[in-house]
Amino acid sequence: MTSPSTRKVNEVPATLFLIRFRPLWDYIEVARELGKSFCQGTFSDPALAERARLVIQEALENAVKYSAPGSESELELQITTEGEHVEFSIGSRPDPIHLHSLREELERVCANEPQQAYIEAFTRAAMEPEASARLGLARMRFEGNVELSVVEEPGGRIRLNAKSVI
Amino acid sequence: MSNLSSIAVPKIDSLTLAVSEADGLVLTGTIASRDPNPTIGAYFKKVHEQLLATKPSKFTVDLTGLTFVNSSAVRLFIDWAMWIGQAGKTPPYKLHFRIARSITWQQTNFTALQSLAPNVIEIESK
Repeated sequence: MTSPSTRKVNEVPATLFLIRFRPLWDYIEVARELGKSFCQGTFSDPALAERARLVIQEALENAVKYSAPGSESELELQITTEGEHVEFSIGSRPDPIHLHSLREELERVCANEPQQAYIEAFTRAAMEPEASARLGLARMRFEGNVELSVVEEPGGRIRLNAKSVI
Repeated sequence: MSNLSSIAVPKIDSLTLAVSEADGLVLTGTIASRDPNPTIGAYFKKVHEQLLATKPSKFTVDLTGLTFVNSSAVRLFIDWAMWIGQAGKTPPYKLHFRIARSITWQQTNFTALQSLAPNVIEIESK
């Protein structure tokens, strides 16, 4: 049997990792470190594992902050592979008012190349010291080296997808 | 530097904050709390106010042991750079960040911060 650390990517099943949990801040660290360890063991690439750590942290922070109240607000973190890509997918049920903000923010972040978009996010944070940082998506894209997209699902759920080259 | 030692250091589970005579401020651990501003941000503000009074030419913040931060923590460093920039036409002191070459988030974020405030930020990679 091939150990995860020596397994080639094309031998790995498409869905590799899936956890579901309540949108509580305290669970973010657990999910983040689990996802990082999983990537480190599966892909044998410390840089990818570090990027995974960052992407999972920032995506879950947003999901926890903006989840609608109620028992259906379960979060889902899924890591899959497709060819030479690894995709981090975070499912959540946001308060509807935040879905519009998320789409606007994503559009803004993706309008420029990743480094420029991150510097613009820095500038905005500097100019608006009383507002929240709003660096997360730009940071995921630049530092995490991922392509971002949002998919709406039935029942008011969404999925934030972050795709990276392995 | 001894004046800085009199400022109460916040207690954060994942983070050690220490004032060193030789190195300035040394941060070790991780910062991933929901809102680090009332604790760490408030501490940075007090350090900044003390530095405005003591007027050093630069102040070193050693981050080589700070392995991970969330974007709310990145915001703390942006705010600090802005306080210095807003304190006068000539920055009252330079913020000298000692960072680790092996830690990617430090390279990317402090390069971005330096582009935002080139007169305020110095970077030393180790």
